[in-house]
Amino acid sequence: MSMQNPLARVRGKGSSGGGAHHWRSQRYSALILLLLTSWVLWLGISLAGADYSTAKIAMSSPLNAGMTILMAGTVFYHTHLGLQVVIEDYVHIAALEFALLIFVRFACLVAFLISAIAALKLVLGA
Amino acid sequence: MLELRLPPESRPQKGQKFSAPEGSSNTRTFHVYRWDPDKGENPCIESYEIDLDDCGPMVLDAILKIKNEIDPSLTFRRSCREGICGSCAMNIDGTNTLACTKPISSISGDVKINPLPHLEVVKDLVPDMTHFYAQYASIKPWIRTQSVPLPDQERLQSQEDREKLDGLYECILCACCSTSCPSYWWNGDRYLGPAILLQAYRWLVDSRDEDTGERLDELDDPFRLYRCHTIMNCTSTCPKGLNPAKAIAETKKMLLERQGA
Repeated sequence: MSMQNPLARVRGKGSSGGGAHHWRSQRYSALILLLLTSWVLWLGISLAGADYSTAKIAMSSPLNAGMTILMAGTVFYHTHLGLQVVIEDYVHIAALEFALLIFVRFACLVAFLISAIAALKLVLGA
Repeated sequence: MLELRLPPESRPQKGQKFSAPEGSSNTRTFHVYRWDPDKGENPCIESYEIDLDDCGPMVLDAILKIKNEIDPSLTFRRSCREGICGSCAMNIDGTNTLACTKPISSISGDVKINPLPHLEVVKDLVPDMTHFYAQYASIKPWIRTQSVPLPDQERLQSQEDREKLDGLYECILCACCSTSCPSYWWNGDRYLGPAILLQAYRWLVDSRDEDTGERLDELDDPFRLYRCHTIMNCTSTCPKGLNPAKAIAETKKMLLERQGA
């Protein structure tokens, strides 16, 4: 049983000051994803029925490649922010929580890099 | 980790049943959570059959009748019996509310009465509110000023500014909202919860208060404020009809405005 004063326990280490930034980033990335998803849907529909080489040419235009990279970045950034909240909500074993938070951050970064390189490969024709 | 089941020693078992007196026709059964720390046993749910023709209209009347006529050891908090003190907050028929303003007639079938969820139980229907009150103290719920008041004048407030406190000042801190919030269940050690955040907002929008920035600084934290995921249990359960979720959303808006979008 702790003999610490209840107010001391509540005040804890104080306010971290980072809450608003995280919340804002999550909302803004969701908003951008809404627009980018409409773009992806439009692109998908416009390429429906086209053969592989037509699709490859379309995807290697700088605009489409740029949008794809932006899409990948936003998706995995948003995923990272969302999973971070889920882990903070439900995982209360400090070491596991820390490990999962680092893992999610790393996995999202790797997933973004793979997507971005794939999109660049089409543009550069490598 | 989140706990989906109570620990073995906290799981309620079946308790005694008490029947209504012979000849009563209009009866209702109340299943009440009982736990006595001195007995060292698991909690149990005892069932009391009450003659509603010989009982007041509210759930609190039935609980008082049980205490007066069947089992004087039944322990609960109550004071004003008119929804202004917040003492008799408990979980009735699956919803946190005040026993004194909850009509028995609004519940169909048996009435299940439990203490407020996810707080430690002191005895029977009495939860430990220590942490909740410490959280309230932590937001410094009083007017904080920098200016020196004139010796012959109060701090004035226009009628329009006073109206901004409507829907906030009525909060009686019964903790129905906070203890209905899953985020508060899982992270109540650091998340302030809807009741305290509504109170914090009450001071953020008070035109006489001069410490808005410092108050926002204290709230700008992933746990203290941003564990709110707009689940809205707080608003649907509030026995005073207030909207803590909106107060929290407005606080988030203030922080956003301060950052400059």
